[in-house]
Amino acid sequence: MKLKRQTHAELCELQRRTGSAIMRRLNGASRMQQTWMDGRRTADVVAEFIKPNDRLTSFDRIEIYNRQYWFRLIDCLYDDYRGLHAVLGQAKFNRLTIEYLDRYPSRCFTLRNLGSRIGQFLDERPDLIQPRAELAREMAKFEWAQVVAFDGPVETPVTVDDLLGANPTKLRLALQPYITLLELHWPLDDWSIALKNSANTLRSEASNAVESEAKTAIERPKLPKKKTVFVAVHRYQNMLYYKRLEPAAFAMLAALRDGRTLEAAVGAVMESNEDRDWSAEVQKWFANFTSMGWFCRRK
Amino acid sequence: MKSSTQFSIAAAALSGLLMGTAARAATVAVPTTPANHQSIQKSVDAGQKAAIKLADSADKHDCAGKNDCKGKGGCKTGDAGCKGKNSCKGKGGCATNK
Repeated sequence: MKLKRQTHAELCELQRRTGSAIMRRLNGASRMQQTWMDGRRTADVVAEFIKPNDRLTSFDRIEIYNRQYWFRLIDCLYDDYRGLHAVLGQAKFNRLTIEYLDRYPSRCFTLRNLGSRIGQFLDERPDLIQPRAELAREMAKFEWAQVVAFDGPVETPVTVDDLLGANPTKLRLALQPYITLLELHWPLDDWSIALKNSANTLRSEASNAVESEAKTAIERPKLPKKKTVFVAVHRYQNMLYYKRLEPAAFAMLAALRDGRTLEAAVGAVMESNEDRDWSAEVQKWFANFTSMGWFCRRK
Repeated sequence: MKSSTQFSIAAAALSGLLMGTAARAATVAVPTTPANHQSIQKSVDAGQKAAIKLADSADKHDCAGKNDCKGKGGCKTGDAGCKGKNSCKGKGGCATNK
């Protein structure tokens, strides 16, 4: 018997329907929804394009993929937003991730970008992060900055030749794209490190469970107390760093990032304290930042 | 007065920039031995290292430590397009082993 050759349009339609089934949001019990978008039984709809086998129905077979797709995405968000998870707690974080993925489904080939719109989503849905909305928003920004710092692109750093003979009143520099400057109202850098250390210790304890019976329970660090800090999230020699900055250094870097000239940027430093002799301090800052390759040419 | 002070601080900034770029160029030009690597590390204040070593951690990025598509962007996929190819770190888009 000669089989009918499938047309390109039919293949596209099959892919579209399969994708719809796999990527469709799960129900409250983390299972595939029983009712299709048009009100029919999902089991009837998927039976039109997925064959059953001797052990699983069409519904059962596609449900496996539907669930693993969602679990994978949720797991990815958990990996990138462990601090946010700690701020909100398990139940609220779960709800947040599902609502987020429903509102902003994965549309990029790379899972790296999956959480890129969390910040925007938290602004749209403050109801999901009460009563710690402000802390949650800052944590999300801080954690996204780490994704950027980890693998954001790097531009060629400025060289001595770029700077020789430069006029500070005209010189404009750019910051490397992987650097994020953050004014935080909680010391989330310290807290994140404590959180990671605590998680590592817990993992280590779990792997030595027999030996650790006598050891005291390890508690997750308490939520941080309010304190304003200025932080640059960056990488250096392929390692992730949180660098605390003096407020004046932060203002100066932000001014350079925003396109102001070198002279105008140091004006931002002077505004914080006109009586202080800034020259030696500023020279030291710039030597350090430049030795890490933070500045590049402005395009 | 303010203007001249501002200019002199800007000149100090420029000299700092030159010092830093020269130091950086020297580290690139000189082959790194464990001893001078340590001294370079000490002279640079990068801040606090995030607690885990990315290249060693359980949730490391696919390309962590492989380091060869550095700075080019767009490498990673959930299936580790760059895994073992040594090339994606720093180029953007390298996602993690999820």
